[in-house]
Amino acid sequence: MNRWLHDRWESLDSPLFGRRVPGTLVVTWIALVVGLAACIYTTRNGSNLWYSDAQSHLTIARRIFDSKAPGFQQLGTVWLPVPHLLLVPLVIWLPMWSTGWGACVLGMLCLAASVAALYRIAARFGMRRMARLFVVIFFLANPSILYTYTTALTEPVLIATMLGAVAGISGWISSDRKLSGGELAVFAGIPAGMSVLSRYEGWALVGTGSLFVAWASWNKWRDIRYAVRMTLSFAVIPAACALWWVSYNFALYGNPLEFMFGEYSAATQQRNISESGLLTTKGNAGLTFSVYGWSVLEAAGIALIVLAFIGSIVLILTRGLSRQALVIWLTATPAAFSILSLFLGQTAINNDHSLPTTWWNNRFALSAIPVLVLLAGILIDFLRTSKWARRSRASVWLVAGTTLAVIIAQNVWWAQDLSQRSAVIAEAVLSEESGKQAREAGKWMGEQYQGGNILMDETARNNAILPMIGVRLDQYYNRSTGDLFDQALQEPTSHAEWIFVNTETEALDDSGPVDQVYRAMLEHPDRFENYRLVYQTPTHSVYRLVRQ
Amino acid sequence: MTRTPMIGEVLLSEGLITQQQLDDAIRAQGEQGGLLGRHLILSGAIGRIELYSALSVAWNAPFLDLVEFPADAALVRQYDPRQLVDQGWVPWRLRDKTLIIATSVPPTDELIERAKRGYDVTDVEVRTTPDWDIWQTVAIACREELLTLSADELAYSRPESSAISGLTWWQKAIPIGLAILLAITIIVKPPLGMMILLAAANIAFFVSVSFKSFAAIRWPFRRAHIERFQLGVARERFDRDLPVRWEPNLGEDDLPLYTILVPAFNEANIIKNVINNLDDLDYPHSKLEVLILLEEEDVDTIETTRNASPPEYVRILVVPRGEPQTKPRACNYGLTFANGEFIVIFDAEDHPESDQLHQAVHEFRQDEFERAYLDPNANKLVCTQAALNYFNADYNVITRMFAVEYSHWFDAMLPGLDHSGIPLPLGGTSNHFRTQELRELGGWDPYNVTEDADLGLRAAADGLRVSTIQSVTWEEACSQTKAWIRQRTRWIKGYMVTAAVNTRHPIEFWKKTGFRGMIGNVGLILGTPLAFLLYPIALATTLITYIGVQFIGLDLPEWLIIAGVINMLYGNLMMIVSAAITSYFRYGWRIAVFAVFLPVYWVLHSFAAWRALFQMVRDPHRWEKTPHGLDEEYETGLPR
Repeated sequence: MNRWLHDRWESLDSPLFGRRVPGTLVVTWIALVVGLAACIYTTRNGSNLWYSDAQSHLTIARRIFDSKAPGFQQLGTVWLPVPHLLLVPLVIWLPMWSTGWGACVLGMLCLAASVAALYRIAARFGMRRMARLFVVIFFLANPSILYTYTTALTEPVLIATMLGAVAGISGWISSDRKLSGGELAVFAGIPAGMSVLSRYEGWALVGTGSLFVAWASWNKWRDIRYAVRMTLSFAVIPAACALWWVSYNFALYGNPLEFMFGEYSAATQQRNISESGLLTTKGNAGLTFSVYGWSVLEAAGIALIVLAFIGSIVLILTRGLSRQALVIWLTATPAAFSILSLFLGQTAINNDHSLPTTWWNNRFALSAIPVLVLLAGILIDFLRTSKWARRSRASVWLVAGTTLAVIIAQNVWWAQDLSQRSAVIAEAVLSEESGKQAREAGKWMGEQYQGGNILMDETARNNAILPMIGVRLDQYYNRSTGDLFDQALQEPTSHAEWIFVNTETEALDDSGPVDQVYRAMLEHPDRFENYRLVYQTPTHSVYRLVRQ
Repeated sequence: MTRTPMIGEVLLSEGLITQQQLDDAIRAQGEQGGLLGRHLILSGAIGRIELYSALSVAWNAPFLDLVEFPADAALVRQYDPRQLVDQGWVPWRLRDKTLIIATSVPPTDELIERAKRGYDVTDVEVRTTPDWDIWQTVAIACREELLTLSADELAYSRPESSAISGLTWWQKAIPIGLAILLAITIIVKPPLGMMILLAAANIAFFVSVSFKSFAAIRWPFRRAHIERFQLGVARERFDRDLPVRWEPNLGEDDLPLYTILVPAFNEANIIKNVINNLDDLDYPHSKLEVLILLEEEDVDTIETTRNASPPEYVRILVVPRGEPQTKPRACNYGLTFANGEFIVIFDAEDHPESDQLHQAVHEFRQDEFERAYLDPNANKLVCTQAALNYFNADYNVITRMFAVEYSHWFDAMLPGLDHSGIPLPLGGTSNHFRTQELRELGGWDPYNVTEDADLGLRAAADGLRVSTIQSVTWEEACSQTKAWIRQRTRWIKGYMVTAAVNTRHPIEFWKKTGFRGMIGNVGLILGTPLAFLLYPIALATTLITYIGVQFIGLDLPEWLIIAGVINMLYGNLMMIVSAAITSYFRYGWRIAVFAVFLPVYWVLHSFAAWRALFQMVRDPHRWEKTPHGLDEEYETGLPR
């Protein structure tokens, strides 16, 4: 056992050979174990389902095969499809879906992939064992990261695929020989393509990645044909993915840009927010940086940000604009994309320093954490390999001990009030609290349910709780069933045994999601006269059909 | 036996060798068998000229330098060149009724009688000359005849088995007729035409995948059966107080002479490697005969090989310029000069596992034993195929795909077909033959660009058997897409040609090989190119119809779309899973995981298949040479 541990420990500092980066498997297993522990914690207290979007993602994945209208069209256009497609095999078993464990498994795999990619990027950069390990520790010791990776949110897949793409690029550029286009396409292009179909930050990475590949291949080999070939090789799969997405939108909705301008698109949501005057970062650079900065600060922690800041200075001074340095900066692409989106009003983030103050979309800051941990790793490596550190072993321990102490201190500070000190978790708590009434009603219906169809508008406010209810999706008439939903609204008694509605009338003023079922009940009470109210909370009601 | 000490004595008395060298050679001869003189040359104690000079004393036949005093070419041409090489002598001069011959073997009465009969003379005088000079004399004097034999012997002796005449009239008429009919249908009734095309594409894909999957799945069952059988035999042998495992009585001195053919063309960069690789073979060098076959025009490789100073058992054979300039023609040329009981081809980049020749000999001896004592009616084993895999598997994506594909082919599919009665298409190298039977089969067909696959089927048609052995030859996978496409074009074209040759007389072929032979020919040889030709059509149509028929406005029946999707999913999944499993055991997960890209890899095959079809019409015998040594930096320790 000692020998085995010793070998694993030695592997973390072994020289790189070809594609092999010794130690990758070790950190992968560590990440899996840490991820499992986080999953056990969040599933036991149910916090993995606090984000209503997390429940929506789980539902989309399952309704592809479990619905009154199953099929790939259930992927919809609101979100990009890869996170849902990856979830599909993991939510086939109903308990894996209703408890959120399906997403936990995906999250664990994404955590392992993210950590492996970070480790490999660090190793390719030239960091030695201590710095590589601290890159891993910084990432795994972040509660916002750990929490998010236990949910069905899209960040885990996005970060894992983007880091996979950058790791592929770093492997390519640090190779001694001219690798083929196929190598780059497989090891960088495929993860980049997956990130393109995970979130729009991925599209930005393809842009910066292509520029980097073009410049780096020219810079290294001075061969214009090779540079063009490599750039195309990297970009061709992401481009095909984007093309597929456009084709899919055209095939299903008759509009190739449905995902951009459709009824549920981000642009439509932003327009509503903008018209309400709540999009304060739009055109305001100061507020944009402030809001995003606070989100990052409250997701990453001050300790990491300080270390990363110093690390960035070290990187600039020691490596300048070298190829290796630019690979590190490539991981900052999603952060730059988020800042630009905020400034252009394409997205909104709210936190305790924004106008107005609430918690909204702070998880976007998570994609900035990889570049921060890499920069902090560069600082550690700089200190570890400096003349000062090489003089005595004690100084090495001093660097390691101080860094560990800083990480522990940061986590202790977080632990004192995690629900307010981590923006990501604070947002989850807020989501959980605002949907408390809906959850109570859903929980009651799940317990009382003995069969029969359910009529429900799952897109209405706080109604995205289908996994929590735990009933098979082919029992539902909801918006995702299209015409069947309309038919059920017309003749509910011949379709549904149960009705689940959000009864908040202020939601009917078109300023937010409208519960179509409750609207129909108000507009056509005669159609629903055979239903009896069986459970009620201040915001939600459950009705059951009374057989005559 | 009486001459052995004599040659030693002669060499000792003339001071050409020491007593120690003689003792060493005698010891080696005792262990490995073979001629003492050969051991002396192999050990470097003596040169070839000195040896034969000494032998001339022992044989009482004066030494003759055929380079300085060449033989009368017209005289040489009167005799069968193959027999001259086999028997180790050539006629030198004819004076009145006295024939003077030069021999590299002991001038026995039998040999002298044979010479007398062959030239109708009353007297024969004997001279001694090195064996290499015998070959050289035959090669020069019989150049034209050897050329004809190498290129056209099969076409003359078994025209129905040769690809020289290409397709028969009906083999051209039927596909063209069908294509025209389909085109007309698509123009007149597009849905019906597309339905027929899509159905045909799906059927071809289904048949091809099913055949390969069946063969691959059969392998674990077959292996289990073999193990059970071996266990039963072991128990029975134990009960009879015999050693539990049968071993052929093969000491080193019982091993037969083995000929290795190494055809090389424009491969000066790697020719030294193969010499080194073959030197690693665990087989007595005194029983090895390595013939490096080089094309006359390939001056660079000839020069490099000569400069490499290959060991004594390696001989360079320069194949005279001629058409078609193909590997099988070179191999046929080499076959003429082969003296081994068994013969095998290795490519210039090959690295066979060291025990491969032993395994092959064991396989042949076991076959002899089984036919002698267990089943006299069993088909005679003519060839055993070693597994081919790649040493540069992780060089780039295409080499990984190649490795996954080859592993599936040689580690599962071919062993799965073994003993199934279905003819095995041979791989390009590492197929070990009985030399005599190979000659009787007509050798390789120089007009067939996959002469290997063709030979496997021809052997089956002749009632002979092909088996597989587990020993591996590590080859270099083609790592460049363009070169890969050229190589694959040749292979697929070869399959088309082979299928055509074997279906010239389908009923006759059926009678010879039975139902299973026909299955092999259709499912594998014909099915493979057909599936690759139609794969992009099936894939594209399935994808397009799945995404939305509104793109092309085609209204295909629901059942066909569903069947197409299921077929695509089934076919791809079967191949991915079975290839991933076999390549995992051969190379590990880093290679095996690339099996998921097989559906994309097949698109590349399809491109090659359409290119092959084009060449099939325009230039069916064109041999597109695959360059080797593309990954030199990989081999020199820069495996990035």
